Amino acid sequence: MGRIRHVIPSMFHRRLALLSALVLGGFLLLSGRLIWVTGVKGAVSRARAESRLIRQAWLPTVRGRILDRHGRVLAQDRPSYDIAVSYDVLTGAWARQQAARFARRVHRDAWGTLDRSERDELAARYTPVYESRVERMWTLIAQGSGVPREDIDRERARVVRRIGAVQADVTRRRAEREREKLVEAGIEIGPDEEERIARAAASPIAETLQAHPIVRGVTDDVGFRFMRLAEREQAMFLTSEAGEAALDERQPLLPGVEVIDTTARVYPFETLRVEIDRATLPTPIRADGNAQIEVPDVAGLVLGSVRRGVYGPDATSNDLGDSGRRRAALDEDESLRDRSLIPGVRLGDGLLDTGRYLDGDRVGNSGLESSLEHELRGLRGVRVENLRTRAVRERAAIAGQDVRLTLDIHLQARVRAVLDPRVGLTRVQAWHENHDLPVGTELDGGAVVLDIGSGEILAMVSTPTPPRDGDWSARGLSDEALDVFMKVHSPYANRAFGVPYPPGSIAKALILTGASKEGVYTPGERIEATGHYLPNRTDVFRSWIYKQHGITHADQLGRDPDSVDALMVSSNVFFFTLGDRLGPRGVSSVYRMFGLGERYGLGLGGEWAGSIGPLDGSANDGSSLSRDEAILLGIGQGPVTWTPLHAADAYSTIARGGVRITPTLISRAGSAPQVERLDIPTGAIRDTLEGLRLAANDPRFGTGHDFAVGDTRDPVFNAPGVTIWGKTGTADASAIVIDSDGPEGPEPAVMMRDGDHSWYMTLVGDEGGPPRYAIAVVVDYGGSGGRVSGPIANQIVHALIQEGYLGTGSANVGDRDLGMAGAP
Amino acid sequence: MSAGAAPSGLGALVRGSVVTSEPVRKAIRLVNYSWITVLASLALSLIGIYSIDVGENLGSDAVAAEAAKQAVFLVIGLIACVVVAAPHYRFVGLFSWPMYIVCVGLLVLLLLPIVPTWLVRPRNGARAWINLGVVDFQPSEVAKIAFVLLVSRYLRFRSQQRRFKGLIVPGLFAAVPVALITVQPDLGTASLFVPALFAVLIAAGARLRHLTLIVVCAALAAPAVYPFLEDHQKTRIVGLIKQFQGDTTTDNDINYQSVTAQTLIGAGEFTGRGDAASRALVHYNRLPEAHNDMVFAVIVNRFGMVGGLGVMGLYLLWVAGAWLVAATCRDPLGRLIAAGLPAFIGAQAVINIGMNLGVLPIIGITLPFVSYGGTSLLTCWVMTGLIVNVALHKPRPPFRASFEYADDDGPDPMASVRPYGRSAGFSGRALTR
Repeated sequence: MGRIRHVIPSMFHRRLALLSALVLGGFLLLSGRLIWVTGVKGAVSRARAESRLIRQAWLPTVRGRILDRHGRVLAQDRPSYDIAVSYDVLTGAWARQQAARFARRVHRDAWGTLDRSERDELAARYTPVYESRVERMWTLIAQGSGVPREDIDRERARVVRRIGAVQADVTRRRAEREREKLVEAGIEIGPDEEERIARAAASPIAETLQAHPIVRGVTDDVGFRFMRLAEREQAMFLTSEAGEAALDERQPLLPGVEVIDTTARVYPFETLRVEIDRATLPTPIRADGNAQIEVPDVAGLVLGSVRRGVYGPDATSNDLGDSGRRRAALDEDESLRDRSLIPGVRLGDGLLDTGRYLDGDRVGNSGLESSLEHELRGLRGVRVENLRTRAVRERAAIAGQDVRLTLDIHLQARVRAVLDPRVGLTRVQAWHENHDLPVGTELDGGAVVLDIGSGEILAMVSTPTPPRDGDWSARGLSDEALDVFMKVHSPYANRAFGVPYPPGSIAKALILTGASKEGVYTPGERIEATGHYLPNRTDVFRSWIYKQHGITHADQLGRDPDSVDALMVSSNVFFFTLGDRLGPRGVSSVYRMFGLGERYGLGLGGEWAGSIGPLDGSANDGSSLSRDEAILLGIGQGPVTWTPLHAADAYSTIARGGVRITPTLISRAGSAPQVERLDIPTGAIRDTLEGLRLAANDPRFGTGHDFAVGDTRDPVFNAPGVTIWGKTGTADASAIVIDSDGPEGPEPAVMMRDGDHSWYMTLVGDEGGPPRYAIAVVVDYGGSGGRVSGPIANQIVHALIQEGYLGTGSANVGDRDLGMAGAP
Repeated sequence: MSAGAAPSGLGALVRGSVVTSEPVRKAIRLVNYSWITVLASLALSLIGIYSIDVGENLGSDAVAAEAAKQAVFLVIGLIACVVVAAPHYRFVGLFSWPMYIVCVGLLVLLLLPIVPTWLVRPRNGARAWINLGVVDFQPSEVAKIAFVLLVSRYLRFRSQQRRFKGLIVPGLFAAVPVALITVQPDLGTASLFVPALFAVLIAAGARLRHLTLIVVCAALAAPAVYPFLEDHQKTRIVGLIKQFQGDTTTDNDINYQSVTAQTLIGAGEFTGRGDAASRALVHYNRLPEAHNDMVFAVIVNRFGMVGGLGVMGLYLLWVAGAWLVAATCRDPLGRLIAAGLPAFIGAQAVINIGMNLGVLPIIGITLPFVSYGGTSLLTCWVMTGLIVNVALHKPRPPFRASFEYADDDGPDPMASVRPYGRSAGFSGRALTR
């Protein structure tokens, strides 16, 4: 203190110095803060501030198409956009609000002193300018979309009316609820409460804050044009009261307009009309002329469907949710991974993920749409505009990949039509001699058509086919009845490859070739036909001919059957013998050799791999089998399951001379099919094929040649110009029993289905030529293979001829539309 | 004003005395420290006009309307400055009581409910403006000047401010306008009177311990005032606290103004963004009150940290110039005027810049000389004119070197160190001016 007094003797000056120090101190603190804000936080702030200068928009991507083998488009996007306008523009409130805002800005100095009516009056002066902008917007919309102005105005009035009514209703109900609550609480409702209630109840409903579609379903170029226009701003010139021209720059060109992406996924070949020549049907239902069947949901189970709305990860399971799966798939995809993460454009942006899902995106829900979601989806694009420099940078969207299937959609439709109960082949008929189900019952079935040369799946049908949109109401079933329907028919299971079936006698061809390869059967060896395999037991391991007619095959044929005979007449004892000789391990290895226990990796998921022993496939090596079970496996019964696809594949292998080619559903360019040589002796192949040929063609002994209709016999096949190899199968099936109130309840259990599954496995080729196509048909609880599945196989052969796969000129199988009308 | 040739009335006015016949040229000293203040005022005003244009004008060729109006007021302010600087400040001081009473009367008028709205139009809920037809007039601004003049004149020959009881009357002089302005409500402007009062008291020799005691008591009593604040004032304090805590949830509503200002300030970085970039940033970040309360953010965005420090430096120059004028003035009235007015400018600048930087809550205070506002700019130039006035005119007898008290130690704290009547200069140099 003394020193200061010495340096500055004058007190007044000391006081001034003190004041200066205080002010200087204040400014120093502020300087420090300024340096911190601009220096330390400067870069971050700059990034934030500059990010407001940048407008970023996503560009939509196009989902890949799904094509059939001839390039017909089975599933594609149909781009579609709605032009929506926000509610306040529709009602005119926007124009009034903007006018008020402008008036307030222009009369800034006096605004605070005006009362309500004066403010409204001032605002009213500018309202016409804003209304004219809205008017111009409607004109632009009408011109751009091609929708007449009256229609637009009508839709606009309708929306305003509807929402106004909803708002009024909601307000009324809210007010009532509030009043009730107060009354219950014992509070008296005076004018204050009334006002509060009125205010709370009148709060706007969500619809009044949203945009509503006025023009629906415009094409994508119109949609894109409006998207660009909606981003643009155009200055409006207004004159204020004092005559000064004022600029309102921030007004959008199209006030309140949003373009909503309503792109739909369409399936052009979803419904096809198929004609079936009734003259080729079995006699009891034969007629002249064609039956016309409109087939819905063709390949519906295979193609699947798309849903809007993305599911998040499931906390209780390992399910990553749609977004998680997408991210995982992108991370593994070398070609897309780096393209999906692009650097953000604003300072401080991380990487932008163009592969991600946004709210409201479409995702595959089932079938191939779901299992191939990653290939089909594509990547979004990004468009970035700098508001200041008006510079635009775009990264284009990458469209999803197209997927080509091996299916022929026309053939698929024909096969589906054949399996439709309206044709009659999948209804219990008198000639079926089905003792378990009444005549007329609808039967479910599955069919697979394979191209032997390439292993490609030409058709793959399962009935009943669920509707793509999941709407079962067309059947007219009550909820309870629908529940029972689901339990009995399992429509969502794909019978072609996803449901376990016992092979039945179909397996005999495999057992024969496998036993030959294993060396437990020598070609030409004859095995005694005893009618029952165990000498002392006449009640088990019996031949069907012994069971039904009390005779043996030796009696029937006049000799003990060799392999050809055994296949022709479908001798059980012969194959019990082979099964016993192979033993549990051996017989299992034969089945496995032909592909049982494997999933083919079709790309759809939901495949049944087949099983021996326990259904989980843990003992497919036969380790759980007893000798008795091995014997049963010889005729395809016992603890063994597979699918029609396995059957078609196995028979194709035999037709190729013991070369396995993995069946494929999706054609991938540049990938060769997997080929495996099984080293089956050529003699065995020759004998097996001969046995199959006789089974289908020998009129006296072939089990698959004909069936009884009354006193006559109808041949199973009546297609000209083809050679047929075939095998019937009648496989013992477990019953479907429904106990509606459980085992303890008083209601008895009802048996819904029982009996045998009906199989018919066919190889077909041009007359005199080798087998070219394998057709596997199974009908659930149909009974006899020849009677039920046989005629179906026959119709499928006709379908192959009609689609040009067989018959004259069938070497060029092109895209010929042979009398098939569909909905594009 | 040439020597002797001016009409005697005007000359006497300038000279400050009807007695002497000294030529006017000799009666004033043209070279003085107040030029620093004038140059600082001019620089700030011009920066203000430019910044208002940056803040309000995105890129049209025409200058923003507010900037044009501000330029007009600048010209009027310069004229007012010259007019106020011409007559000797003792004559100006003669009007201090009438001016004060008129201002208080106007402030009361603002609050009377019977006054019609064509005369007093509420603006943003505050009754602070009187409608004079062509322009609106804010009495609280003039009250600032009237207050400083009155307190300076009151204390110029007195010494009772050295006692605690002597602080009461100056306090009352401040309390009356403060109370009336607070009720408008305009807490921001009212709060500026306190630093001004303290500055005058400190310069006049009030004992520091007394003043410290008052400040400490006020600080302790401050939390008790909180419940009496209006909602929006409470909201702003809450917002500031949230900012300090790093809570960003309110960044889009109650803290929007503060956060946006800080973002734009930070975006200026070292030397600021260019003209076009700055206009775009201010526009698209939607900075509220870009032309008045938040104009500092616009300046820093445009000119960077350098610009911000420069503006602060200009205010320091203004205050330094004025206090140098006070230091070199021998007359007590002049001393107190030159000591009190800078407190208004300095405190207002500190509070406004603090508000922009997020150190203080948003108080409705503008940046002097820079922010848009006719009355405000005019008042600031009148203050500058008064500083020039004090610097320009030599003190007239009788005068004594005032406010030279022995400080708290010594036998008689009231004793003046300097003998009455005989003004010895520092280091014993006799004063002739």
